[in-house]
Amino acid sequence: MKRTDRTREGWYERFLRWAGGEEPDGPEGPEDPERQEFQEYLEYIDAHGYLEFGAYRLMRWKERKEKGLIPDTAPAPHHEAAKPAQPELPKRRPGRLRQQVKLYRFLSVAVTAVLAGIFLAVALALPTFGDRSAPAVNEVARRYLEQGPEETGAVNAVTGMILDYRAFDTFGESAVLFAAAASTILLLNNPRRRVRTFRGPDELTNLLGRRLLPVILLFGVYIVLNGHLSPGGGFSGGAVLGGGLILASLVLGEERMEQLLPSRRTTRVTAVCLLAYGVMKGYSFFTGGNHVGWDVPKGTPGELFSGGLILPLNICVGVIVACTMYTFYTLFLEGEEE
Amino acid sequence: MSLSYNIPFLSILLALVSALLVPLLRDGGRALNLVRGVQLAVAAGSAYLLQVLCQTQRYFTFQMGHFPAPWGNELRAGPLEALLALIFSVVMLLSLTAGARELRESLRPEKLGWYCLLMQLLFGALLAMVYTDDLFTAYVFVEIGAVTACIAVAAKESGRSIVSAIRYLMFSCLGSGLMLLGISILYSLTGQLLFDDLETAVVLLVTAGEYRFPMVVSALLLTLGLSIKSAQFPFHAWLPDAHASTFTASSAILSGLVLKGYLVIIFKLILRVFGQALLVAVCVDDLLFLLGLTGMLFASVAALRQEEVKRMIAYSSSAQISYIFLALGLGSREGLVAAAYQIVVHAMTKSMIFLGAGEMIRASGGHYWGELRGAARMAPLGGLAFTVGGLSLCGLPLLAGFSAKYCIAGAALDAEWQTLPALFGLAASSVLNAMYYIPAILAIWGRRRASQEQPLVWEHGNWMGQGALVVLLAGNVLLGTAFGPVRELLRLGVTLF
Repeated sequence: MKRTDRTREGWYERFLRWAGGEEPDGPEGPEDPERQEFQEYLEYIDAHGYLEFGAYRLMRWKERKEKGLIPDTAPAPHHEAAKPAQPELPKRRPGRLRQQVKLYRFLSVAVTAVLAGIFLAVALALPTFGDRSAPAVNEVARRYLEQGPEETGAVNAVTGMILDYRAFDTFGESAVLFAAAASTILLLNNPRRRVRTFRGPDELTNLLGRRLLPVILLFGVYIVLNGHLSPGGGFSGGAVLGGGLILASLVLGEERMEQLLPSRRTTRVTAVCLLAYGVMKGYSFFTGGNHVGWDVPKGTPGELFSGGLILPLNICVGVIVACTMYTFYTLFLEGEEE
Repeated sequence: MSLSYNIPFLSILLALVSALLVPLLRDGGRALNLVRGVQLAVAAGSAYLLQVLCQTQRYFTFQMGHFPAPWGNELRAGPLEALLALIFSVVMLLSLTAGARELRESLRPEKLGWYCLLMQLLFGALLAMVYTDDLFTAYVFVEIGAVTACIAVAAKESGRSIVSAIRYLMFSCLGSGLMLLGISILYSLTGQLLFDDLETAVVLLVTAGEYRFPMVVSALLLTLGLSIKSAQFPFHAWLPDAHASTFTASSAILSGLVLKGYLVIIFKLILRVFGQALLVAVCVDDLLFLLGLTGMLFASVAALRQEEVKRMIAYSSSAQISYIFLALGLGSREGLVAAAYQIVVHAMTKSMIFLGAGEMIRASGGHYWGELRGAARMAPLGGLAFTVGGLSLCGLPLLAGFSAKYCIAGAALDAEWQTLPALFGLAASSVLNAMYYIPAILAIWGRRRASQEQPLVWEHGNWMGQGALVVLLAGNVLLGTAFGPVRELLRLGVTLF
């Protein structure tokens, strides 16, 4: 949306003009029932006279001054001298609520202390960390570590576990991310959004950002692509990529980024990647669950193109994480007032 | 490899994949149709699966991927799971159908699409909670449920709904956090996440007498976390506002289904992990029973004081959830059957009451009792749904609520010391239910004041919404009259759970 002079003026002035009977966005129609109601409400307050404060008072003052009801020498209502002497409210009003707040504070400390005590006792009673005979060291973990590379084709045991052995959980986790992004979009995405003018990054951001940006993005891509070979993978690489996109937005400006990577495209790309994940893993769940064979070839563990579906899945997860982070950043940025 | 064997997997995959297709569609109306079409397909599939499993009287597990269960993920389906999936998909479909008009009118088209997407993710998460055989997978989908359910409240974007959604989010996160702590303690004690393996490991630890204290703490944390999320009595503070301040469709889904998803996990934990023996030994069943008993009475008393129809229904939800906890706390297999009966009945009834109330609010234009006087004459089918649902919860014979109460009372007769308190609680709570539902019913069928008098306008063109209410009414009567067969089905389901 193109920025006009009207949008630059503050919400407060717009409100004042609306309340005064003008249309802030130009004439739409002769009657505005809401404003009519508002005027009646103001008259009601005026008749009672005990709500003399803030914006309302200033507005009434301007109105009266225009009608000539107030002499020009009278001080403005925001002037110290014009303030009516307000009766001093007692600072401590003994009441039920205040006592309940005290009780609430006491109880919250007590509950936290009791819970902390219980958790400490549990932590002491649990098997010690790294104990060979701990129950968690069992055939499940052993198979992940010993047969993982052979069965999944991934040298990195963690990736093999989350994207092959327990890929259904990871699908759920990616869907959680997508659900969070979708909820933010549903709540914060406003078609009448105000694009802020970009004043340009400060010198330090510009200097460092422009040099670091390619490195960060490349490093993110590296982590994603090598997820099955070395520590990393879609989630961590995606976080680096997402950070890179946010930095790009800081250096290049939102308007440029909106041209390069429109927000609508980001959500579509996320959805397509999740769909691709669903279809790939759906194939593998279906063939595995029905024991029909047709496995995806695993390749030689240790090479880049190995691990069957793990590489494409990692790319999907990486894109999902990066796009989600970037979407959050752009949506929350709009809420900032200048 | 048969069709019925693949239905659980296909249901979950279809629900999730159809949700992801929504951003690629052009407008919200298509999204709504896609989402409902998938729900219809899942309902049909679940009905077929239920029929097959009842005939063969067995359950099966489905291996998700190429690795068998303790290493990979697994789904498990028996008659009870199939029945729950059927009920969940039917209620979801009917809620989105009967509430569609309000959604179309108050959400912008592109927002309608996002709303449908989130509701479909919620539906997928509920299906996964029903079918999963793995505690951690259950937790992952509980997270999806938490995010999407909060947004179902906040989507209305009124001040009140935003505030209540934030409160709901706080409680929901607290519940999830406690649940996760419970799961991690349990995992470090047993090294297992699969329900069957967990049970074996827990039995071994209990007989050996090892790690007694962490085990009890973990059981308590899981119970506590899930009771917060399912709004059991002392933790129900978030529920009335969240369920009352949002769209009718969201209210029906939240009250009818989301609370039940968490209860299904409690059900699995009690029946398959901790076992009745451990729970009885550490008195967790007594705790559940007492929570249920107090909740039944307190929530009903709170409902009496409400001046707004949706808040009253929401408090009544909290009371009805307490029936389930009471039945679980009886500590017997019959108690579990009764709890399952109440889960099914409440899912159908409460969504029907919310949808009926939504129709009346729409017709009369207000949600306080004063404005709703005579509303049923303006929206007869909505009024009928509210009336039948209310009478059903009061325990009028031949309706679903009566059968559920009868089932709980029957189970309570075999209990030890719980018999008398349970029967007293049931009686008192039914009287309280009648005390707020019957005046409400009389008010809505009464005559409007002369100043409010409006001609009856029978609205055409909403035959799908009206049809959804008719289906719910028929389902309620069916659950009430077919008491014997349904109980036999649930007994079979609990045996094979």
